[in-house]
Amino acid sequence: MNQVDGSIGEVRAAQEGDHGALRGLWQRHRRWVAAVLLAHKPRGAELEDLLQEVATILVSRLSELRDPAAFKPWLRMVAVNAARAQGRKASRRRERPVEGLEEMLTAPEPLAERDEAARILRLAMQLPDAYREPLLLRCVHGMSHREIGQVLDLPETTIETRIARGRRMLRELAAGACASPPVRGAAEGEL
Amino acid sequence: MTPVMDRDILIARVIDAEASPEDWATIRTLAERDPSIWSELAAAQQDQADLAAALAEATRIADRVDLPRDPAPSFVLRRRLRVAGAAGGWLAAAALLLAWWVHPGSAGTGPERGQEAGLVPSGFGATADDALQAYLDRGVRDGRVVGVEPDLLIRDSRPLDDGSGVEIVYVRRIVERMVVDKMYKASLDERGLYVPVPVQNLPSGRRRM
Repeated sequence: MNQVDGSIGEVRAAQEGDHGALRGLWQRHRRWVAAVLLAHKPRGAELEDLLQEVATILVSRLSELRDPAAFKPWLRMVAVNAARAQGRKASRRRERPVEGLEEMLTAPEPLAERDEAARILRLAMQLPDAYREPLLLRCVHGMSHREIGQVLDLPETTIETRIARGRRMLRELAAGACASPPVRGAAEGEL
Repeated sequence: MTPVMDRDILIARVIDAEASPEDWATIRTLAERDPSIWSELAAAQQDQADLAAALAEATRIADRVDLPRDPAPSFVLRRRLRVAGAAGGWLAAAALLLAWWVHPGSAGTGPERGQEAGLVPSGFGATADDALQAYLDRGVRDGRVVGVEPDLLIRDSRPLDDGSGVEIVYVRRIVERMVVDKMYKASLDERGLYVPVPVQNLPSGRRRM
């Protein structure tokens, strides 16, 4: 089975208390959930903490999901909300400094600075939301446009366009061709 | 679709090994006019390879994160400590850590676990924890207890004089429901005394009591 496949029956079984089905769902989806978290998490937030939070919500709230077919976009929203909530908390903490907190928030990511791959990932994090997330998801075990479209609840053609456009922006960033980085959050030239 | 977008998509399809014969033909035609497309393609492939490698490295940690057996207690400990540290001071965080270190399997059961409660009615277990758990179980069965909020509200903390630990004072939040005939709110009468006043036309939805 592909990394992101998950049958409706498996979701239903997990909702009804089948721990094996629930564990299988998590193990198959956690890598792309990590990519979504990476795309949305604030700087300094720990990916492992956010993954644990998503896992906790998956266990405690999956039964509230009315349409098992909407499992992937639901799980993605759980991840996005967890990352955003962490961002709000980090923002509040910055307003009331705590000793050592600033260093924690501004600590570099674990990837080595000298690593070219890490540099590309850092540049990718500067892309607008609409391009960054599908681009990262495309790198997760070769998720197809269809699978990414299911997660983001968008048409395949839109996904293809955003990935292509995001890659060009990334090339321009890597080459230093951009005078200023694109503004996060905007989508442009979409089909 | 604009010509620029065509070029982006063509390159993306080549990178993803999804380019059709028609796509390749278009690329060759473009390259005859502008050979820089080949170097652009090479750069894009390199970027994609680097990005995929970096992402695989960054998300590898996901393989170590399993589902919690009990979502409430130890699983969210690190996170709770951080929140407690920001909201209630690092002393409170240390107190929580101490509490969980001593009683890792229990969500906020506190240092009293294992002590005899003494006044617990028969059938509710020997300790306060047992009695509480019996209450929760019974409440869930009866429909009164909806759930327990996983986070404790830390009100106070202080190191014990004898240095044996840290005392924390916290609020455990149990969500309950009940059915009543009427709802009243406390209101002041003309003498300044609180009197119950029936609430009329109570809207549906969440109400703060």
